[in-house]
Amino acid sequence: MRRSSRAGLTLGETLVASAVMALLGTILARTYTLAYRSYQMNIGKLEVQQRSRTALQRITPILYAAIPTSNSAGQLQPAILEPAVGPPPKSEIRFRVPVEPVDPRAPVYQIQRIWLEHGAVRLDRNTPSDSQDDRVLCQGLDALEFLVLSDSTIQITARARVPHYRSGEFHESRLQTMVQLPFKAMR
Amino acid sequence: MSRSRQQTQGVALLMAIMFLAALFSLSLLLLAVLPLEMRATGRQKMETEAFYAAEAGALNALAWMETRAAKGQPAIPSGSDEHELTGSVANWEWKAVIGTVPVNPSNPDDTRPAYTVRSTAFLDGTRYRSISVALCQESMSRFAWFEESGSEGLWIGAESFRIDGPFHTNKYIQVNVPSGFYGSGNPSTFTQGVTMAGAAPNSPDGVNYNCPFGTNNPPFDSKGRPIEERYRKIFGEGGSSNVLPRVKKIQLPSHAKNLAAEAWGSELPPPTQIGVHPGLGSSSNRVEGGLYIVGDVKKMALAVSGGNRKLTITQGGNTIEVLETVSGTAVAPDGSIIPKDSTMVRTGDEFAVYSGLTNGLVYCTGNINSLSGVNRGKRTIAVDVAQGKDITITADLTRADTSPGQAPTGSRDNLGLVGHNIWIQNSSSHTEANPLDIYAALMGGRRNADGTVSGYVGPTDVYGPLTRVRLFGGLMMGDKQTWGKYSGGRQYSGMTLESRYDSHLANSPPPYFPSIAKFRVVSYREEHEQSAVDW
Repeated sequence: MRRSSRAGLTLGETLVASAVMALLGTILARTYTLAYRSYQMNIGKLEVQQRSRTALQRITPILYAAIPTSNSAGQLQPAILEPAVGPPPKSEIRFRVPVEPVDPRAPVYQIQRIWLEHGAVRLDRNTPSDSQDDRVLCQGLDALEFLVLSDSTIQITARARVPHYRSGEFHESRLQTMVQLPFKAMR
Repeated sequence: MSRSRQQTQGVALLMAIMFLAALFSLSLLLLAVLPLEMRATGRQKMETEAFYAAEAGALNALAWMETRAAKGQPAIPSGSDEHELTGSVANWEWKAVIGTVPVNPSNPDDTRPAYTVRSTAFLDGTRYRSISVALCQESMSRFAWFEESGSEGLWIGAESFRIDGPFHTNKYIQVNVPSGFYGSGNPSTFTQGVTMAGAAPNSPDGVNYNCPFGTNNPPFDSKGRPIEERYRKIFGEGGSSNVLPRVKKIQLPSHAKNLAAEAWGSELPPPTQIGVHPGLGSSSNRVEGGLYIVGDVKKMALAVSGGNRKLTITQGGNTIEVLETVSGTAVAPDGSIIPKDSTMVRTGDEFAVYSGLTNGLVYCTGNINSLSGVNRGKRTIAVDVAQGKDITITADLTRADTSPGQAPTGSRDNLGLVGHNIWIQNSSSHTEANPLDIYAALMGGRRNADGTVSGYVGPTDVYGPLTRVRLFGGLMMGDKQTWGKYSGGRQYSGMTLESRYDSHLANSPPPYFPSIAKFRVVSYREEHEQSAVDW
């Protein structure tokens, strides 16, 4: 009897236990896979959000420096040269900024340009044919749009995409901000 | 039974442990992700708050400076080069440091007050973001037409007036629009902005078109909606956006003490002896200020001699000649050479040569009863406004860098006149075909202690011969009075004006020409991302 009791489980018990263990194992593996995928997805989402956010954070203070000036006839010239006020949005913006160091009595202004090229947001002194003065503000953007709503209000939309974990799809983040230029013009 | 029960308990324990492990690993993954997002969001919120706090400091400083300037005080307390303001926004603190910008030695003629403001946002004593702003105080000479305060709104004939520069009044304007004006080929009455501190009652744009001697012909429909085509005809390309009612008042100064001090070139008491005194300041042989004239001037003639600038002043029986060698050397009365960049003052046979040029300011404690000539170099001629002293222009007042009748193309010879009244001598020889030419920013008027305003620019005699004046510059007045008398709808006496705005006077005003309580922001820069924009 004692020997018989140590002999172990019956075949039926073993099969049932194995089936339960297999089921549990599958559930656990599935749970782990889901958790890992969720982690990868969040990392992906964060990545695209971070790219869009970085783009907006770097562009905004540069645009804040845009300034309206007056021409030789004393007429006010807008801070934003292109695009014109109203739709459609453009992927490039040209604006006027003072040349540093600034002499407040005789300021000199230059035109700067921000645009998207091969996924990189670039800034230069409005010299499309010269890449020597290009500055890369951030990378990894899929689209960048500037919509000038008024002389002093610009809506910027940044979109970034990264491939989805194993699925072949993309994570996409689309961030939008409104830049209100500080009041500088006077009448 | 008991054996089987033991085996089942073992499986349950194993299952529980495995589930717990799975849940634990899941929560660990979430915990790894969440702080990243929270930190990013928190950082963004903080940066936004810091930016607004720094901006609040900059705007506060600007408002503080404008308030002081509106009271006639220097934008920061005199005697100091810096002034610090502090404040807070929610948990944030800001500190704004206002600093004066000295006159650029390479451009000594431009004496407009200029400042920098550096505003920094702090949280618990830690600096987060800074904004750096450069400002230049606007000169009164920026206007094509300025009137501080008329007894009523200024009447403007839409057909007969043409004001091609900035226009401001502290009241409001009344525009007489004759029938047929909107369809005529006439140029627009104004070409740049019209600002008014007041507004006509019951008018949607603050302008009164209900002219008692004309037609009520406004540029808006019966519901007050602008008809832009009509607005462009009166107010230029900007249409209805070119007329702004209820803007901040701009006041004329009540005195010219600062001009006197700058002309004398020293904090020391100025001379009281009648005559022409070079502004030597604390020096004995170097000109540090302008020219300080005590007493009335019978005649002041501006001229150019050998490319150098010359001023001949007649006081009583004395004639004083001031020659500044701005262009090259000159020969003194005794045959000696006056070096370049020197100032010679000669009275009769006596003369003295000082090193350095004047700062372009000529200040007179009395009236200047006759002013004419050709101006060379930037110059401001001022009299004691507080004592009601006047300047009278008796003949053409032109400039060396511009042919008479032509519009100036530069600012080298910008001239400004500052008086209680600026009178223009009537002369029947100055007709439409042969107008009296004046190239200057003319400022006549003052704010009195009781708050009233007096002084203007006009003819010496409104009943005198009709005089045609051609002004290349701007007109700044206290209270414009009538310029002539009319009969049958036609002006037969006084003066008529053809005014052409000179924008060079706005960007490069005559030296020490009075400022207004407005500051132009020429640079606004966040220092946070500095490296991204520096080349």
